[in-house]
Amino acid sequence: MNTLGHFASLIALLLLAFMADLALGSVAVPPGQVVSILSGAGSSTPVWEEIVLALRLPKALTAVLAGAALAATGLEMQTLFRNPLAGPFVLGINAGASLGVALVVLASAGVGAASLLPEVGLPVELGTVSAGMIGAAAVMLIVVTVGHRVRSVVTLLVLGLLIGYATSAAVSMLMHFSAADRIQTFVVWTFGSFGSVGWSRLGILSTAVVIGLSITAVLVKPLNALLLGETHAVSLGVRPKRVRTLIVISSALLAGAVTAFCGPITFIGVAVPHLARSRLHTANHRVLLPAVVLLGAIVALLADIAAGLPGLDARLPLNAVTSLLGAPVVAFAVMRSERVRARGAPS
Amino acid sequence: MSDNSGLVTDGLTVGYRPRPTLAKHLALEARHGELVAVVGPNGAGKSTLIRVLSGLEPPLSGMVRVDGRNIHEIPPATRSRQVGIGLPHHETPPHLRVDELVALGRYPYTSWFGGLTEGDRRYVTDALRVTGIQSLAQRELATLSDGEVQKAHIARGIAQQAPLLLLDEPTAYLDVTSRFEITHMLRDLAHREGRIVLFSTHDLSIALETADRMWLFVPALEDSGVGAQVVDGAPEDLALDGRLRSAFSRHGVDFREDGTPVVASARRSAPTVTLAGPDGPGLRWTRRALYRAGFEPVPQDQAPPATAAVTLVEEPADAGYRSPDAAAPATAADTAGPAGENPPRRRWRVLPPRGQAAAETEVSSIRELVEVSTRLLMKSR
Repeated sequence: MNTLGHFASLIALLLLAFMADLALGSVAVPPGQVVSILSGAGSSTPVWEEIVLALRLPKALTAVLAGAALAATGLEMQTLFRNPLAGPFVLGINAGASLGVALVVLASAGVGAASLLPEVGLPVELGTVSAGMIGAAAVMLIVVTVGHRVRSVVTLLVLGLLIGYATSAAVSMLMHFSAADRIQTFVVWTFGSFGSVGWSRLGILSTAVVIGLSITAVLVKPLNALLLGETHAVSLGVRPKRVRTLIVISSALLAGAVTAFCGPITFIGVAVPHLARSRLHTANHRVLLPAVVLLGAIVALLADIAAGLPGLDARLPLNAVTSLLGAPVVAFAVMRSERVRARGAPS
Repeated sequence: MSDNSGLVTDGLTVGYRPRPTLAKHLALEARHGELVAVVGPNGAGKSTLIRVLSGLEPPLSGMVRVDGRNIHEIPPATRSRQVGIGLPHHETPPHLRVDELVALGRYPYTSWFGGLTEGDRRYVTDALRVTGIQSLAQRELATLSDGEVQKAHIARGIAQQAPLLLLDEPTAYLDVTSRFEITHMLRDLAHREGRIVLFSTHDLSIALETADRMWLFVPALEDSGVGAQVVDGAPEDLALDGRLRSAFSRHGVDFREDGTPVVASARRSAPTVTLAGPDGPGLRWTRRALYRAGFEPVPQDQAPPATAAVTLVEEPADAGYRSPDAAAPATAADTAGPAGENPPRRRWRVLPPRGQAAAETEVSSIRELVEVSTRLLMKSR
């Protein structure tokens, strides 16, 4: 299949997954009715209209935005670090966001903070969300500052890991001194969900994602050069510090916003770039970036459908589903890169 | 220097701050159209010198000028049109195709999104043709052999259209054929397109065979306080005036006249053997074999008395058909000619050193010759 064919099939898959996400859930809505509701013609059953428009449509849009954002960030980081395990969370973004959210949810004893959205039961106060974004941005700032001084990208990776440990320690301590219901709220947030955003905050999320993706699009050319390693890239005219800074800013926006709104969603950022590379057989970011955006959205929608356990009156934690889907993909990618490395670097 | 063209270093000192300086006050030069071999033992500073020459790393002091401009003052975007580099350890990103890799050489010229114009594509095709890897254009880098990957990276450097191409160990980890293929290709590239192609290697015979100019790292003399030096000259000049020998002899390595290195310590007590016979490949290979076996083959008139003597006898392979090789062994190639040409029949007579009781032995292969002479001469000690 050529590249155009791949994109056509990805777009078709995206539309299909989007419709399925609207139709499936604890209450199944027939696809015909979904189309009719979306086109504004209404539905024979008013409850369906309510379910689709008020709940499932913002949830599906959130899934699309979150999946696209996480996958794009994962792609940037894997190329920057030349590491198949790099993802939005490797630099400690999720840890930073978690700490921000934890500070609001756990520490502030309910002073204008986390209320519960009745229909989904998750904290969606804007305070929580901005705390998450600030936490993510703070971690990124540390990484940027240090990143300008360290030469090796591996050092940066280890640094992100250590920041992750430090912040989880802080979160654990906060949890230890918190009331049970607050811990409950926080733990539910860590499970991950696309349902907590709703129409009211979709605007903020989509703004952050659009800006983040635009920055990533500008980076497509230097990302291709970075495939050859930093020294070769520099010899081709890449300005490494500038590129690194832009990557860090865009991933703070993308992953930071998504994590704050939807919880620390695992594996989509790591796994989707691998899926895209092996499906399209390319390393070219001009092709990979749009592919990863589409595929990320598809995977997020599918994960949301699976988490909804269609036909049953229960939901799985989103993170459990993304981990189950993503772990084998990442394992395969790691083993593959081991093989490539074994024959690629003779020394 | 009558003009500014070419690569010139001026009082260049390279090294790393915490570590001792690698080489001081280098005054080196390379002209357009030259293939320059940077030769020296491992750890001498070849890679560091190349990184400094490329502008990627600052010198400790001094200056590198390319066509009159200080390389470290050229902004990176412009510099990438002046200098192309290739490092020994290549990334092989999964799914990256050869043509895509080569197209990355056009990076300094393409728009922000990296799209290729018709002209860019022509440079990519040319580079693939020059390196002889057109047929690999659509292949993924990870599926190629080391030599093919190396050629693809050189093609990327060619597509970059930089007048200065710096390659660090382009022939490392390659087999002999690929090594020669690549260095000859580099020489053609320099000669034909007037570029300065500079490559580092510790393979002296390849450098002697192909390079127009050699930058030779002469290691520091221990306890002398004299730092490492890099001497610059035609490979033959360096060989003739003994600088080549002195650069390597400190490591216990000596050279035969053809530039093949040998371990000097093993040569000190080499017993001499006189060698006689018709000039040609037979004699050359015999000399080589005796040398390898630990003898010092000398012509008859230079031999001290009481040495063993080896005489090569050549006869046409068969009376009915005389191949050109057999007819004129002196002008024949060093190796057997194309199939169908019969090499002459060769025999070797080994006369033991005077005073030894053994009789003259005749053998019909070099393997036997080595065996017999070793046995005879070891007995004589």
